[in-house]
Amino acid sequence: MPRQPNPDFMAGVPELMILRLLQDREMYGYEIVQAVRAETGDVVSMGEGVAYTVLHALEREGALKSRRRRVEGRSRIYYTLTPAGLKRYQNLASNWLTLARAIQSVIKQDIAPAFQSFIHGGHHAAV
Amino acid sequence: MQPFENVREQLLKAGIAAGHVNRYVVELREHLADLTNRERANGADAREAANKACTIMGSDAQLVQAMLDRSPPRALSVKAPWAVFGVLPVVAIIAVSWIVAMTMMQLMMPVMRLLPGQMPSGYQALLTAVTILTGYLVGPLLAALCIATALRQRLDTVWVWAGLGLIALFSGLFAFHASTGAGDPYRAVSLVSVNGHVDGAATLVLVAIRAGVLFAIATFAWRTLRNRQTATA
Repeated sequence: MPRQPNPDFMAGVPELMILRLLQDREMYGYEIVQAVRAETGDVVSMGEGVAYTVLHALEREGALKSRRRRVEGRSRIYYTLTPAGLKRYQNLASNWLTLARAIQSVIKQDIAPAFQSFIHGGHHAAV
Repeated sequence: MQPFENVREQLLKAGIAAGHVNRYVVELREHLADLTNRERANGADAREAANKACTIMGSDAQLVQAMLDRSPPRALSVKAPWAVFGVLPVVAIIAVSWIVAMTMMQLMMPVMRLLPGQMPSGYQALLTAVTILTGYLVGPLLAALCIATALRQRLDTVWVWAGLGLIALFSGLFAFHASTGAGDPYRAVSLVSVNGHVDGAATLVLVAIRAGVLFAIATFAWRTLRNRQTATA
């Protein structure tokens, strides 16, 4: 049986980040985008508008729930993780860890030091 | 013009459900306001903060593409215009007429067997009011709904014209009607029907005139509002 190719590496990153962040507490779009930056030390920066398209898609698929809340005079749409979303996160995270370990095992002997300096040199990935 | 109106227009024209587009635009505006506040807090003046925030948000084309890439839900009026503008109004007209006729039959039970002159004036007024409401309100209301749906989704399809034509025709053909007095000398209410008085050539002409007038007014309103919407977009 032919093996399924891996999905585009970066395509699943916003989804993974959002699901992880919403595991802790409910958040609104702007908060999520800022939190992704802060949590990844600015290595991953999510396109400002992209967050909403991912949030809406996840909500349609039942991974998130949303509700409108009025906070400090402003009405905002807050998102929370559903049990289906938690399961989805666990699957995604597991796939990513497997993939990361596989890649690491290939590159660590030869170019890991160079890769580390590249990352710590302030380069970041936009998703 | 409010921010992201171009995004809204492009997504609606791409057939994305209006409710979904509205929410996206609302959230983008909230996000833009947050970014602007952040820039102001960082020392930028109002104009500079607004410009920086807009740049960070990305271009309208990028925001539209980001949404389209995620296969958002398409509007029913785009996926199945034949159902929304063709089938639904006709079914609604027939259903409303039928429900009104059945309700009126129940309400009229106590006076149906009275002689024409004995019917209390309240019942007569109720019959007249319901006949006028169903005969002259259901059609225009449905036509307004049809136009509102098309405008909301920025549709310009032949199905809107077809829908308005069907509403005009069927609202003339199907309407609550009660014959009082003249139909039967021994009964106050002799006939309750939903056939919109189609019982002779004269009434057929009346139905045609009513349908024609409603169609003319509705299509005029539709074209006028559509042109105004296009001009302001």
